Amino acid sequence: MIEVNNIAKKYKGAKKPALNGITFSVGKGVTAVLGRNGAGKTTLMRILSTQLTPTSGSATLDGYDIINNPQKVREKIVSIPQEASPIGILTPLEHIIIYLSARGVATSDAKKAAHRAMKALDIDDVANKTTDELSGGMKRKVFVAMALASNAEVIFLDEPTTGLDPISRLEVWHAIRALKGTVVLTTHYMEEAKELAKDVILVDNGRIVARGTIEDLLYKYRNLVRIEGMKVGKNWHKAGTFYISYVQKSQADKYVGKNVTIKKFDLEDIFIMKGLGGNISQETESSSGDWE
Amino acid sequence: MRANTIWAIGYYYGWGSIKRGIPYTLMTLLMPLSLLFIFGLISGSGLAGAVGGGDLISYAILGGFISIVAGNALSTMSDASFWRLQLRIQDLLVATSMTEVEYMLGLGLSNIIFSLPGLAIYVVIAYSFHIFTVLSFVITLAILVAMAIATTALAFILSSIPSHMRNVWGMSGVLSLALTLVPPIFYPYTLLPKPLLYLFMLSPATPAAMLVQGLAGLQPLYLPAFYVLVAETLAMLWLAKRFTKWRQD
Repeated sequence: MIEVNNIAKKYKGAKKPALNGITFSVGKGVTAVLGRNGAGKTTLMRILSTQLTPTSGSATLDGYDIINNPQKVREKIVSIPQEASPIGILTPLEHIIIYLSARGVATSDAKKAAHRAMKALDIDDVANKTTDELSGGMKRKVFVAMALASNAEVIFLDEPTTGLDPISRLEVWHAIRALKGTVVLTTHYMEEAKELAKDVILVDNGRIVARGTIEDLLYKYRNLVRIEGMKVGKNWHKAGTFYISYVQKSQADKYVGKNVTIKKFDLEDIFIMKGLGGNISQETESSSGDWE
Repeated sequence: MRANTIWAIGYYYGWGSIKRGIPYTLMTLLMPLSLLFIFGLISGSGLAGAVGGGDLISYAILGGFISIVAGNALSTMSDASFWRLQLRIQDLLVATSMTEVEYMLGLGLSNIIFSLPGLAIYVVIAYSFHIFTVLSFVITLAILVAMAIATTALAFILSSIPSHMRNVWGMSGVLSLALTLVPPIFYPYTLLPKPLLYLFMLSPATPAAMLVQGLAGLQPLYLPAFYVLVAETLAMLWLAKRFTKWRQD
């Protein structure tokens, strides 16, 4: 169980805080922290995994304070950094043994745990190949295998599939589904959050802009549709500035044949509306502003 | 401090680097072997007497031992920087109970292991030229270990400074020259004026070379160098613990 209470972080010399009063709690299962690049996701992960001290606020992990009792917290967590890459000349087996040794596991136990984890993730056949020989997806699976082998209660995965091709991403998703306990993953891929998490936390500009299960969030906006197209002034055109607007389903007919695409409301739309600070109106069309 | 943690990094990274990177292992031998070859030619030509160098081959062999160990210990800087900046492995490990000293000693041990093939070649050469007695060889090994720890700690401190790998490569090139070639490793330490010798003693390779040259009977045994080496080893370890950027704060 992770409880985060009003965490804020302002880096030295930065004009704006990276995190601006974040409060939430998560239990078992996968929670996705969703946000654009620079939203504050990685800062949050680093604070929760005891790598960074917040400017203010507090957080506990299974009752242990992350600031005052980081050693206890570290015994319970695995934190896989964003864009982590394996050491090319080492094998997956060697990576997992080194990682488990860093956690204080004896080498013989680490070997057994490594093989179990690799078998569960279907990478046992490449256990003794150097990671230089593996695909991008397999390389990321090595890190997921570390998490699985560690048997940690809480696992932080910071953008685990960034930069991967679609097939490799599917492979990593498959691996993440094998993880037990509390998993907090950050991503900017909507479909990744939908595939892996029941619970999502939408973060933008260092604040939580929405929180809930995917079903609940979508239910809340069930009467909206998304209109997207080019605008010149107030009129939709074939060319112009790209706009996204949200209107009542009942008004969608008005937009047919107006150089716009009408789309079903989806998770990313909450993110777009809240993230860009657009006013949400269920009565009239409301612009969400420029969207590049 | 957990020996198992240090051993895991040291053994797997060190041994993995040898068995999967033979050309790179051999590359670390190029400079000392080249110097040995050149010194051998000079000795054979009778030029040695002209330059006043005495037994140049002995210096080249002893220098080779120090150069291999110090050079590989310095490469901890590239390894630690690469693991931190490019691979993000340091970020992975700081969220465990591993300490910065365990991490540093693990990388240092890997580089000592990586030095072993080169040292083995030099042991054979040294044996052929009757450089050591058994006792002086054992003491030399202890000196090399102390120097490796001090140099590794220095390299580890410096590894946390650069924010781009390009700067790491530049720094390690300069350091390699300043710490393993310019100091009196391949030539008698008595050739240096005292002020310059004291300056060069800032590099752990210098007191190590002075002791090794003394043990081999090539130069007078200068015992204060032993205290300097021990002090530098302890000081570097303390500085590494104090100043290395480990966690983000």
